[in-house]
Amino acid sequence: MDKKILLVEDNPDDEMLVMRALKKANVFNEVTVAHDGAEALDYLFGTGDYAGRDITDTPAVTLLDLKLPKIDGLGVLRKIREDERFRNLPVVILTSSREQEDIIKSYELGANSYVRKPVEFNNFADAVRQLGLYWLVLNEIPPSQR
Amino acid sequence: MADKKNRDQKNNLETENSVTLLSVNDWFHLLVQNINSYAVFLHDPDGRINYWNPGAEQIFGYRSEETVGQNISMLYPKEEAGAGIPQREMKLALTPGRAEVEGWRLRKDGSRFWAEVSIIALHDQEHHLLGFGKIIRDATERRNADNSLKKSRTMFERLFENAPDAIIVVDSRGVIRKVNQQVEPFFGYLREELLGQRIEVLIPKRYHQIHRQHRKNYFADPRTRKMGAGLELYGRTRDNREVPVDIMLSPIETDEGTWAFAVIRDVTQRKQDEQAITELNDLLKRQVHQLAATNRELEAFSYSVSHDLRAPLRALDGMSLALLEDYSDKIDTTGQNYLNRIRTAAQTMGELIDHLLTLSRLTRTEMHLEEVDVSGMGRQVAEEIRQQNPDRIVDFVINDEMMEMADPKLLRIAITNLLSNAWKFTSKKDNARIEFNVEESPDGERIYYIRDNGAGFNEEYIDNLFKPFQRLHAVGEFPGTGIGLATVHRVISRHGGRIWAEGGIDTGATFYFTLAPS
Repeated sequence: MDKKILLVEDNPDDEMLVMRALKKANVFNEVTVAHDGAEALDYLFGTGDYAGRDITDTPAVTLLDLKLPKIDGLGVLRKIREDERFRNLPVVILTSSREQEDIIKSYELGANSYVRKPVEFNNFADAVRQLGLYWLVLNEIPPSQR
Repeated sequence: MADKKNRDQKNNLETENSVTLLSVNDWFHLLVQNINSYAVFLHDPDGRINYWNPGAEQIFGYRSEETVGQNISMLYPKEEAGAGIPQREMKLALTPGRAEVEGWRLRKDGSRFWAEVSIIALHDQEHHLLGFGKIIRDATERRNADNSLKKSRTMFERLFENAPDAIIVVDSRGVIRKVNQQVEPFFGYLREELLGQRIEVLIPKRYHQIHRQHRKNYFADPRTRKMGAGLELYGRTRDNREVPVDIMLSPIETDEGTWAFAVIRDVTQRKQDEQAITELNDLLKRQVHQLAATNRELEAFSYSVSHDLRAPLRALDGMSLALLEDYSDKIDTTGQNYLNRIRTAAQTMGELIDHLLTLSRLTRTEMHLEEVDVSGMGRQVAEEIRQQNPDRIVDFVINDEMMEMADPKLLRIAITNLLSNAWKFTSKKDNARIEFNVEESPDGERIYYIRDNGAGFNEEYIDNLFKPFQRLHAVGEFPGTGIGLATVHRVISRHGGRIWAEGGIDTGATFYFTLAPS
């Protein structure tokens, strides 16, 4: 029962930094990266490039950026929550924005958590480490549909 | 026996005659004695009074003992007696036998009254002048009434003539009977050209029929009212120009029946003004919409900025650190220094972006005013600062009773900035003291102030204090982007208040502010 991480991030620099931070935090769980909203949904629903994937194998946590091409973060979140199977999927919004409307909308649409990406890397790494520690170790994931 | 009877009869006859004669005299005497509202008296041709009735006593105030035997000149005001008025009046009545005059008379108490006098020349059977009889009525009241009426009429005529509006009087058939001065320049006709004309001559042709009907209706129930309520009325001038007008109608009773007064005002200007106001309002509405649109654009812009500008900064910082960590053996001290500077620069820019966003949001946010416990807010902020910097001990002195109408969110930002600044600039002092208090000015204004005993600032540069990004200290001395005070200034401005500062080098700084327009 390997806990997986789904990282939905379009910015390659940010992707690299998240991976680096996870490594620094000794989080060696498998990370799948979706580079836009459509790809994220393909992964979760087992469509497109991910057709045939066992979708009951849900990620222990999804790190979701808000600004994404094709379908943006909130759109992905809405689609995830609309589906019975993914109603309880832990989703952490990890984003640059601190705009009130984003935070409010995210929680309204059912995000579990909202974390801001700081500019300074060590702070960023710290945030990632805490996230990893919490969602992968401490938090009880919802019983999967297996 | 017959003689006695005759004598008796004769006596009786005489008695009867004398009784009859006496009766007639007595009757007249009785009559005149009982006339109270008229003064009736007799005097000889020289003016000596020989009879004075009770009416005369009442009207003049003299008893007959005081007047009989005296001259009538005592009954006139001194200057008239002196001017020979009494004699002139007698002369006036002599030839025709009687005269009616009016004039002033003098009462016993010295007061005057206006007299209506009938003078009758009395002659005996041989046409010798016996004297004059005078019947006098106190006509003061009537004269006053006449004068008032005259004054009234004059005043009315003047008002009518000189009124700033055109006034036209029409009879029940719509014929113009009277016009005032203003009518001439207003309509371009001479008075004479209009008198006797139908009022329709001053109305555009297309309204004639309906106006005739309105006229009939008006005279059926004439009341003071505005004509054509809700309608656009027009007058027509001699040169066929149409003038927009307001008309007030009033009925007036005359000997020839009910007429109507029309007061006519040119409302061209007012209509133009109304048009201008409508246009201005439309312009205002458009501008308000544009403003709202601009605000929304700004909103969207800020949003983009907050996302898109931060990402590359993260990369700058993160990659530089990655280099430092992974290639430390391949990069010398100088190189590492450069990388550190890159990191600092990126982080500073991040802060700047945050501050700019806050500043811009401050202007656009709606203000919600409520009673705010300023003291409580101050204590909370002080506590937050303390917790973020547990290694320092600073003495906070905060007044307990500060309350003010303000926007709590915005005020918190301002207070946080000011107290953080005070905290920052006292970092090199051992016994740092920060005071947050309020004082009342002579004209009842509440002036808040935050005072510290820290590094202060050079008052020479005070003009730049509140400008965004302007700093009065080097970054090495005290960190910061220089946007804090600009933010505070924005908050205070939005409350309608003022902010100013005093300081000295190393003698601390005091920031004063008000939260309401003075």
